[in-house]
Amino acid sequence: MNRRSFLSSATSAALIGAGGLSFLTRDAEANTPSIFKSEFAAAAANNPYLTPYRGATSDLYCEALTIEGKLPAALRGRFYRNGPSKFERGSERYQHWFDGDGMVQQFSFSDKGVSHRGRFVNTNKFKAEAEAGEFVVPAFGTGIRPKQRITGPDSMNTANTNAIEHAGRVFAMWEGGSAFEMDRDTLETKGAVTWKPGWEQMPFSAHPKLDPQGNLWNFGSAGNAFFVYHIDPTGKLANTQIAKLPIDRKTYGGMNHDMAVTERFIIVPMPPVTIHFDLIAQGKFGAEAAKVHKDAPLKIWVAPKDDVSKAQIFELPHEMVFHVGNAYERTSASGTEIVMNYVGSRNDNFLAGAAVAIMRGALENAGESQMRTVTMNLATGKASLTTFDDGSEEFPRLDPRFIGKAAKHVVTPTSWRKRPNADFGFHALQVRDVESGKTTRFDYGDDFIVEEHLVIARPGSTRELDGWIIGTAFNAKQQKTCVSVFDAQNIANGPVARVWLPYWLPLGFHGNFTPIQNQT
Amino acid sequence: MKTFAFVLSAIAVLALTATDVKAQSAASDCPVLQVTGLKPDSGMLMLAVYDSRESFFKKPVWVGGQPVGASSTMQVSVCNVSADEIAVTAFQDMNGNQKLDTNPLGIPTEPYAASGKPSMFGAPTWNDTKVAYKGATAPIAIKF
Repeated sequence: MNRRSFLSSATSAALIGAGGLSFLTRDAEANTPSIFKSEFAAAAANNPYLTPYRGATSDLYCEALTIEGKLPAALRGRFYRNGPSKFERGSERYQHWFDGDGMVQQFSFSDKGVSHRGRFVNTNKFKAEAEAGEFVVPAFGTGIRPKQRITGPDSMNTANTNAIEHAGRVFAMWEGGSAFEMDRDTLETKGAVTWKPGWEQMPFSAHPKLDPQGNLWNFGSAGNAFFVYHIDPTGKLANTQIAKLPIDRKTYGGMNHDMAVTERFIIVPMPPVTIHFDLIAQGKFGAEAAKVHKDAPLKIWVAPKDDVSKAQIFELPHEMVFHVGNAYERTSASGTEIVMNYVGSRNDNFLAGAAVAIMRGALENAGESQMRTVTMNLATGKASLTTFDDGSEEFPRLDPRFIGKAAKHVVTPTSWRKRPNADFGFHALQVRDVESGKTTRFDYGDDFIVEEHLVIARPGSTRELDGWIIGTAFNAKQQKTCVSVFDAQNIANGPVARVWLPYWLPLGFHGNFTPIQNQT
Repeated sequence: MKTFAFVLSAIAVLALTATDVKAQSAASDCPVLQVTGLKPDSGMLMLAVYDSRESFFKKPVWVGGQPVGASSTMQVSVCNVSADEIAVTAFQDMNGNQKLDTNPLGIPTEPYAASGKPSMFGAPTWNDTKVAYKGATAPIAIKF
């Protein structure tokens, strides 16, 4: 057939957000990015704990960090973190913590000591806005008027949520679009990752799980469309699956954030959240725009890895969930059970309240977030729930050798006392025995904001928690960020070593550690 | 930490088989489409012209395709359309399958554009993309 006469229509351009986004109705006198900028500047001038929320202004590098104490000789590898790090351009400041552009931090532990490199992820968005000197596309919680065409999620992708090295490749991940690959040695951004032809701009969530065999499992979702990725230990895409979630999109599908894997199953908590971009576009981010449906239950989606169409859904009492610790399978008299721990919060104020307030320098109650263990019986469809209510905790991690297995311990930053100027952050670290509920704790003290900590296996060992726990913390008194290294089996005595940066970093979300001996 | 609930519109891909209309390179007395921002030496420029709100994305009155050469700019004449206003939609068919490819969420994976002032956010509409045709003297801009 003659191509010139084989006629095709042009686009109806399937796009995001879709019609009806009126940027003309925005209330110029309301909470504008400019007002946030001035209010934050005034608050940060009087509260040293707010410094990390200023964000970074440039890439960072330090060849030799100051080491306090004695670093374990066998602790060698690359510790990555990622988080929202660019909050202001021109006269504007973002109105939600989640909006900032991603910056990947890499701490390299080697025979020479510890070096640090921090680089912004040079996404399409970051490039365009750096060139323009202003924000040019809408963000999750800030109704920036688009000044360039939005051709899909990657037009707004900040790659700001997590970073992981897998099979020698470094990925900076968001939730609504592609992962961005960065060079392992320089952290130079290589570009958006398309796992297979035709899957450009597909959602690749920020919490992939690396199983003990080296397989990377992840999901992506948009409304009730659900996608599963299996990347083998060599970094090749082994399989993708597509599923349609049996959920009411008026109540669910806005924020499926984290996942767990067991040997045979994938598990995803689905909190009752919907996101309303028409309101966000009008500069009206709030409890109606990021709506947590208070009467609706938390749903847990459980699907066989080899056929996610055969999923089961369990219902639990209403609450908000961002993060999962771990899950494993066990056999009971009544059939196979999935046991999973996660952090839940029955106070819904974080997403639309505290995470907005902090951007104007205001401290608002984020609510207690607590560890739960749910046991889901696949034969009976029944679930039982255990709650640990001895403080607030988040960012759960475990010994990576036990992902998908019956791990006994979960590590979280935690708080049990109020701090007037720093109540948005944690002041301590804990290791929880998820069977007994007992905790071992180390209190960093009032000067610190404690971030996610990871368990690093001691090379050659096999026993759970035989290794170290490492993590970042911001010291408000010194205005610097440090990495603390603990003996994982004895955190109460404090870190065995602490590595200090000569500068502070923006508070991040998540990260991962790649031992050098696993280098590919 | 967020999933964007992307609302997706349908892709209208019309596999017409008409043979009596061809794209013409810059004929002297017909309105000209000035297409910019193309990826050079890649695939085909595919164009569709509509003459009313009712027919928009349903029934083009003029369609055409031309290979994209070394330049990122092309001029294409649109003749013999009897309308005061038209709307033009376009995509660059990178793989030669004669349709606008999309990912599983329906998001285009090939470059696309439209006349007029297409919305920054969402699918083009007749109102956004309509431009004067009859008596047009300046080129009609199509920016990829």
